[in-house]
Amino acid sequence: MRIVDVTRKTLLAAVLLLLALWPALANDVELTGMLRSYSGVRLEKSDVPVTEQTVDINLRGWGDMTQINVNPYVYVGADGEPDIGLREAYIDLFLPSLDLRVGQQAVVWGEAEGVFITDIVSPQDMRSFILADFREIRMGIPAVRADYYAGPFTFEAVWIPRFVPSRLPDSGSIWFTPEMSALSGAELPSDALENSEIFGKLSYFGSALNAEVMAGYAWDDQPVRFSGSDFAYERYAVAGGSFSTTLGSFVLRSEAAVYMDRAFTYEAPAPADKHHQLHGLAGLDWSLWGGDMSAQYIGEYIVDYDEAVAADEFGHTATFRLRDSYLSDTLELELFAYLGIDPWDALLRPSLTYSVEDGVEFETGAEIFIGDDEGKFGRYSDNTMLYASLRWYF
Amino acid sequence: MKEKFTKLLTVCVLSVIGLTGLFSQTSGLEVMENVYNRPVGEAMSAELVMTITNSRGATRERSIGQYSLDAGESDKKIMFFTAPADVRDTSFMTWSWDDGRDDDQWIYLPALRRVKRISSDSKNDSFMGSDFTYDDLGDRHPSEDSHRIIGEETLMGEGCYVIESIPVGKGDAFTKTVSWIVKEKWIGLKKDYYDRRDTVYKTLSIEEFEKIDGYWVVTNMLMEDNDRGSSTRIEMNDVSFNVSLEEDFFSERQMRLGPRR
Repeated sequence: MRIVDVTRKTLLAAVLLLLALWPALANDVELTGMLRSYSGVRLEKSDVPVTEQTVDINLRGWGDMTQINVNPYVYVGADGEPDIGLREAYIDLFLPSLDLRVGQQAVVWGEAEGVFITDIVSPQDMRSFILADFREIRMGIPAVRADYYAGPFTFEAVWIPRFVPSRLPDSGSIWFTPEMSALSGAELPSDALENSEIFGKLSYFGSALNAEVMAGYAWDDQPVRFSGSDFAYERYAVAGGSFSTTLGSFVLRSEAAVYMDRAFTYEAPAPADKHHQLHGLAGLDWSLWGGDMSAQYIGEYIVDYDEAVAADEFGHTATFRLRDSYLSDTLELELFAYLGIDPWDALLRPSLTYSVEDGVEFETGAEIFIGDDEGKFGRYSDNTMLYASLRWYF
Repeated sequence: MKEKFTKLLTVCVLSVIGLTGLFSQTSGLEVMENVYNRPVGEAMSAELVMTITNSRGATRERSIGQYSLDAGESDKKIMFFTAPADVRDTSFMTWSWDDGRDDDQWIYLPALRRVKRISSDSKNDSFMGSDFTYDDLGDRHPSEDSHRIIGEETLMGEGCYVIESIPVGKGDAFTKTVSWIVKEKWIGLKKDYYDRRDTVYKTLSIEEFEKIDGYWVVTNMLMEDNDRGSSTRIEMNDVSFNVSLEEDFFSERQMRLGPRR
């Protein structure tokens, strides 16, 4: 049996600790969760590379000033081997103007949809490329998080004592690419205090505007071959911000960050310089004929670009979302599209979700990859697939 | 001379009576302002059960905890969805401004773990798949319509003004509404929504109202969509005005935390 996120012993210890603390912490308890069966058929290869059963459990308990939350999950894939993990396991302490959260947790920042700009505190689970549900694509990290509230302002600080990298597809996965084989050998930074990550954010929540400014000192979630011939994890500093406001019938969103002195993979071992990188987004949300629509433009730019850097100097991506519901919201149609510009490629994600009854949803759709091997979506053109899933919430 | 004085006095008295009658006649706008300004307490909490019945008679139920506060310049409301499981932990917050400017609205979607600002332009959209729109559940400002009294009728044993209201601006789903407003209590007992064909496409009926903690409260209402053949009933339970709510309860923090305080 393969256990990836935590060992059996750790999980068992966590459960025992939880059971021991439970009566003291929790006055009342709630057990919720989701069961999901998911299958995908690739059109090009006429195979069924994805058949996955998921159990996702959320155990919550409340005390007078505390909350405890434990979120284990089990994925069982085509090979029949369970992948057991702990997405979150944390304790909250609520004081009048301060919330404190300690433990394994996912942190979500920013205004971008389907794109990560200032939302870089939690690493990503890329085992299914970017196709996993938004909630599941963010990995839990061991962290201490404090939120201090002063009127419309909130100051949030996150300290991550031990770096956790993004999770990449296994070598047998249809999402695995040859470049990934070198990444898996990268050595993680030691658990020394100096290797911890820290982030801070000041946010404003008001009638006219929601706004955030953030900064952090982090590790890149994926290793790079920067100096020397081996891939390694590198540090960088980040500063950024986001806002949203209404403009008549539109909601305008924007988010931007500068990653300072970031290391990039060089095509060949060579004297390498770190570069600043700018990453920004502008987006609009609006309603039309009862449907929700959204459009985003995302731009990336490497400052003082060096031709030997493997990444492109500029990156341009657009996203579009159209969503409408029918039959008293029991039937939902959605199209989410990523469009890569130069090289042109795309990922189109049409879906249909039908609520069979309260808490039971059937979903079917397609993941359509368009473009050639140069594009970040086009490289997966062989993986264009149709899928169906059944979710049962309790 | 005496006859001339008598005529003048008669004209004056009749004028005063006429003017008095004119001024005492309640206008449609006054009625709707009385409804809008009806005392509803500074703070309120309630548990709502929303039952949606489709045209085939199948029903779905949603449970919502609702909290509201008169915060001076604005009315703030937050709704926490507690059931069924697929919408649990979703919350919706509105700040409605007394000066008539557009509402501020946010939704917290637990799947995204994010509080999203949404446009108040979606006021004609269905509220969580029900026959109510976001506008139906908000406090529509009287200045958004022109009002006139078109009659007086008795409904549920109550004397009512019948008010026709026509939207002043564009962008509403209806071309006019006709409301039955209980005199002195200033509660609407029924509301017909008209479309461009001047037919009633939707009807709101108040089936129960009662005085709780000194305030009139609608505790059971039914919205029927005549075009779709569907209906939605909202029952309000555990209504309380003796609730201590601070303005900072209506915040992004609380939307994430849920109704626990």
